[in-house]
Amino acid sequence: MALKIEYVSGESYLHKLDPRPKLLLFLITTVIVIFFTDPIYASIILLAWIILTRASGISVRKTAQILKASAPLLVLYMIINTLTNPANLESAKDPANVIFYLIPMSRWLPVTPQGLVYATAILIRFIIVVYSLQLILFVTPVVDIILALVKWKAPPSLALGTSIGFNFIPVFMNVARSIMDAQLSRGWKGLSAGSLVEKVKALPVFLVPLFLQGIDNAQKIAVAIEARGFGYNIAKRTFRRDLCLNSIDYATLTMEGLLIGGSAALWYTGQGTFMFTYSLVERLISILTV
Amino acid sequence: MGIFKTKEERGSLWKFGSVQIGYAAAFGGLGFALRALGIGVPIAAGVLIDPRDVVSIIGPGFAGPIGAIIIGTLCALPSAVFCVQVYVPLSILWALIFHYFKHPWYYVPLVAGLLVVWNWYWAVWFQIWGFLPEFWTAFIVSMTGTLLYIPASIVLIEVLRRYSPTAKRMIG
Amino acid sequence: MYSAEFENVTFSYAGSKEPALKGINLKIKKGESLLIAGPNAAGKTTLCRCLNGLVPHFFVGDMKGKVLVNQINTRESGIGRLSQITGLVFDDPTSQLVCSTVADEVAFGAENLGVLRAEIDRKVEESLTAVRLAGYENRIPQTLSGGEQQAIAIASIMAMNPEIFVLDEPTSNLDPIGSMQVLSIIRDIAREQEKTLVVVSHNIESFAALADRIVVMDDGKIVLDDHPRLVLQDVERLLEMGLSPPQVTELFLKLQKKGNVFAKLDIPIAIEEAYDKLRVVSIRNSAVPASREPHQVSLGEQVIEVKGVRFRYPGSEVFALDGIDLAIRKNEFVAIIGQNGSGKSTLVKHFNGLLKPVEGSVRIFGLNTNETPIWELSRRVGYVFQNPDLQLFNSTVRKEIGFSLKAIGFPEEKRSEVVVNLAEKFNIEQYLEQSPATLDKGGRQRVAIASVLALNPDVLVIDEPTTGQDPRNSRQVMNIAKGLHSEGKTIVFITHNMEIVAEYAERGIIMWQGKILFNGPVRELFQQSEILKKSYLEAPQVVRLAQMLKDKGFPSDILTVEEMVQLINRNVGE
Repeated sequence: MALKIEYVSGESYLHKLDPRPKLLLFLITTVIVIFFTDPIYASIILLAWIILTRASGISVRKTAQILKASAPLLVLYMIINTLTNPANLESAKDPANVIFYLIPMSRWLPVTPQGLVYATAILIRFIIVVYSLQLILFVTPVVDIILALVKWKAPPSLALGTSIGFNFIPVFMNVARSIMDAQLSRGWKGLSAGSLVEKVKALPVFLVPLFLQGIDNAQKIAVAIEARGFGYNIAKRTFRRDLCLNSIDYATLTMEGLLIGGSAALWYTGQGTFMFTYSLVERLISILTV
Repeated sequence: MGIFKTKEERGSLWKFGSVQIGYAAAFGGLGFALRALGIGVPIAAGVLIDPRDVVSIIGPGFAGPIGAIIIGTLCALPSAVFCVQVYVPLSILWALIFHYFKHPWYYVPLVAGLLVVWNWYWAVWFQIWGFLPEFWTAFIVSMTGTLLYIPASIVLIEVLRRYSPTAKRMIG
Repeated sequence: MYSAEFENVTFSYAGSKEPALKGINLKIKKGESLLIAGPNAAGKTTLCRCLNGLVPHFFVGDMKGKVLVNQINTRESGIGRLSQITGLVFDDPTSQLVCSTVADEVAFGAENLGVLRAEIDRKVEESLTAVRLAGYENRIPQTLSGGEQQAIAIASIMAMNPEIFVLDEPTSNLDPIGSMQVLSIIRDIAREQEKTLVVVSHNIESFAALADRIVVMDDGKIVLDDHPRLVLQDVERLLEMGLSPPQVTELFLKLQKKGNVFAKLDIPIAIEEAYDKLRVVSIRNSAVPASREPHQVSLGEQVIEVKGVRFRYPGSEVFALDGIDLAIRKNEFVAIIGQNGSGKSTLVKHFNGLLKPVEGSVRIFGLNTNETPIWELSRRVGYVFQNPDLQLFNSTVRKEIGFSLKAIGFPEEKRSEVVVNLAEKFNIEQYLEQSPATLDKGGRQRVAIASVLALNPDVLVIDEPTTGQDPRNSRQVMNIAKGLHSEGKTIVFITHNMEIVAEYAERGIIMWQGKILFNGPVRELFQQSEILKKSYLEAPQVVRLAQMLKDKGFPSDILTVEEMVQLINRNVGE
C-alpha cells in the first residue's frame, strides 16, 4: 500500500519534460479538483490523466495498482464521506430528499442523492491525486525531482540529504532482511507470533540491530561525503546535470497557465459545484419516475 | 541533574553538516524501507503498528531539525494517504525535544507530546481527509495507536541508549 | 619531495584512553607505492584518516605532533581542501556510494570542489575509462557487484585528481573476481610515477609485488618499515602478529631453518621466484605427508539431504539454485566456495529453513524444511552470520547468549548454566555482565557464535567468517569451528579464502551460477584446474607452486606450507 517510487524509462512527451512543469501540473490539477466538487468535472480531469498515462507508454493498471491495494480503505472512505459531507448533511434536513437510511428501520445515517453526488466527487478527487502523483513518479527520476527543488532555491545540503536517503532505501531493505534472517535463525519466532504483548516485545529484537545499523551507516555516509570534499564550499557547489527549459516545457507551462485561468473563470461564475451533476441526476430521476 | 541539557551538551541546533546529513539520510532511508517492506506488528486485519514512526522520533534526535525534515518526508512518502504534513512538523518537534531536554526528562514532553500533539494532529488530518468528521472521535481513535507507541518508543530509546555509546551521547 | 610526513604523531580518539597512534614517524615520497599491514586495531585506519584531515577535524581527539600533506599542515587546513590532495577509499563498498547513477557518483567529488560542468563531464569519462567501466554511466551504483562498486569509488576519487591515493582495505570485502578487478586498477595507479599510493591490506601476497615499501604497524606504532623483501624476511615476527605473509616466503623460511641447501638463497616473495629456486629439486618420494587425518568418506548418517532443489527469489526470473543434489553427513567439515552470486548463501539458507525450495526438497535430520518451522530447525542447524552486529541487541552478554534459550522457552534456572559454560568456552566469561558493544569485533563475533550454540545444534553453518577480517580473527573463528568439529559437530562454512579451505576443510564444494561444479575431498578440489579457472578461483599459492613443479615430481595434491616443507626435506636429505 505504498506509492511506487520507481522510474519507468521511455521517450514520451511526459518523459521529455523538465520536472518542474510536471510537478506543477500535479499541483495544479490537485488544487483545481479541490475547488470543483462536481463528479463530472473531476472525471474529465481523471480522464485527461489516463490519456496522459497511455501517451507515456505506461500501463494504466500499473499506475492504478496502489488504488487497488487500498480498495477496502476507499470503500470505507466513500461510505463515511457520503454520510458526512456538507451536501448530505444539508439536504438531509429535509426528509423528502432522503433516499434511504444506512441503518434500516431507523432514522439514522440518512443518505441523499446530493450527498452521493458530492461524495463521488470527493472519491474521484482522491483517486486523481494519488493516481497523478504515481504517474509523475513513474516518468520522473527522483534525481530530477531533487534538482528541481534545488532550482527552486532549496538548500543544496537538504537536497543532497534527501537524495542520499532515497539511495539508501535498498541498502536498508537488505539490512532489514538480513537481520530478520539472522534472528529467525536463533529460534526467534518473528514479529507476528503470539499475543499482542508478545508481538510488541518482539519489536526490539528486530529494531535495535536495525537502528544500530542505521547509526553505523549514518557515520559511514558522513565520512564518505567529507572525504570527497563535501565541506569545501557548499554554496559554490556545481552540479553535473543542469535543468533547462526547452520549447516543449514552455508550451506546457503556457497550457498550465491557461488551465489555471480557465478554471478560475469557471469557478467565479459559479460553475463546477456538485449542483451541475445533481441537476442532471434530478432530471434523470424525474424522467424515470414520471 | 537538571531537566534541560547544558549549553555544552547541546551543541548547535541549526548545524547541518555531513554528520547530520548522514543521519538524516540513513534514518530516512530506514523509515522508508521499513514501510516498503511492510514490517510491523499486525494488530487487526490490515492495520499495522509501524516501526517507521519510531524512526521518525529517534532519527531527528541525531539529525537536528533540518535533518528532521528529510526524515519526516521519507518516512511519510510510502503511504498511500499522504502524511508528509503530519510527519515533518512532528519530527522537527522531536528534534527540538532531544536537543533541549536531558534523559530521562525528555520522556515527559515526549509522552505528553505523543498523547496530545500527535493525536491532535492526526485527528485534524483525519477530518481534512474526511475520514472522521468529529474531532473528538478522531482524537480518541488515534489515541489507541499512540498508547501502543509510547511504551514501544520508550523501550526502544532505553535499549538503544544502553547498548550503543553513540546513542547514549545523543540521548543523554 | 615528500607527499606526506608524520612527525612524532600521537593521537587518541575522544573518549578513549588508549592512543590509537603512538609516536608515528613516517615520510612518504612522491610517487611511492606503500603497503601498510598490521593486525586489527593497529592504527592503520587512523593513519589513513590523518592523511586527508578526517583526523583531527572529523574524528576529534587529542593529537600531538604534526602531519604534513604536500607541505600543508593538516591541523590548519580543512578536510575539503585536503581532499583535493588526498583521495580516500574505504573497505565497505556499498556504504560509500551516495548517488543514484554511476556518472553522478563519479562526479560527486568534483562537484563538491566546484569544478565547472564541462570539466566534470570530461573527468567522469576519463575516470570511468581508467577503471575499465566505460559505459556504466547510467547504471545504479547499489545494483553493481562489490568489485564494480569499489572501482566506482576509485573512479570517483580519480575525478578529483588527487596526488595521493589512500585505499583502506580495498579488497577485504570482495569476492575473488572483484579483488582481481580492483587489484588491476590499483596496479595501474602504482605504476604511475606522479601518483603516491598507500594501500592498507591483509592480502600481503597480492600487494607486496607492487609496493615499493612495506610498513607494518602494531598497537599504534610502526614496527617495520622497509623494502618488501627485507620486511618479509621477518616471517616469524609477521606470523606472531597474526599476519599472513606470502606462502612461498613462509615456505622458504621454514626450509632455511633446517640449515640446508636453501640457507644461502634469497627468499622469494612471489611465486615465480620460488619456482625458479625449486626447479633444482627433484622429488622421488612423492607421498604427501598429510597434515591431517585422511578424510574418511563419512559413513555417518545423513544430516542434510538436498534433492533436486531449484530456487529463485520472488520477482526474479533467474534461478539462484538450479538443480542441486547434495548430502552432508555427520561430523563432516565442508567448505563451500564460489563467486558472489553463485548461490552459496542461498543454498546454505535452505539448511535451516530460512529459504524453502521452489522445486525439490531439503531434509534436515529427516525433517522436511517445508513442513518444519524455522525455530525448530534452528535447534539442529545453527547459522553464524558474517556480521555479528546484525544479531546483537541485548544489554549484557549474558542475556545475549541466553536469548535463543529464552525464545524457545527454556526455564530460567537451566539457562544460566548453559550460558556460563559457553562463555567460559569462548573466553568471554569476564564480559558476562557487560554490553556486547564494548567488545571488539572478534569478541562480538564470539558472543554471536556462543549465542547460536546455546541451542546446541549438531550442525553449524558459518557464513564467510574470513571476509573483511584480519587473519588472526579469521583463524580464531576457524579454530573454534575445528574444536567443535572434534566434539562431533558437523561444520559447513562459506569462504573466499582458499588457504583457509586448504587448511581446515575436509570436503569442498565449488558453486557457479546456481550449480555445483565439484563436490569432493579437498585434496582433489585444488587439482580441478578447469573448474577452478571457469569459476575464477585460484588455488593457494603453495598449491599452485607444487602444480607448477609437477614435472619435477611434485605431487599436485599438496595443501599447506607445512606439507610442502616436509616433502622437500624428506627428499633433499640430511
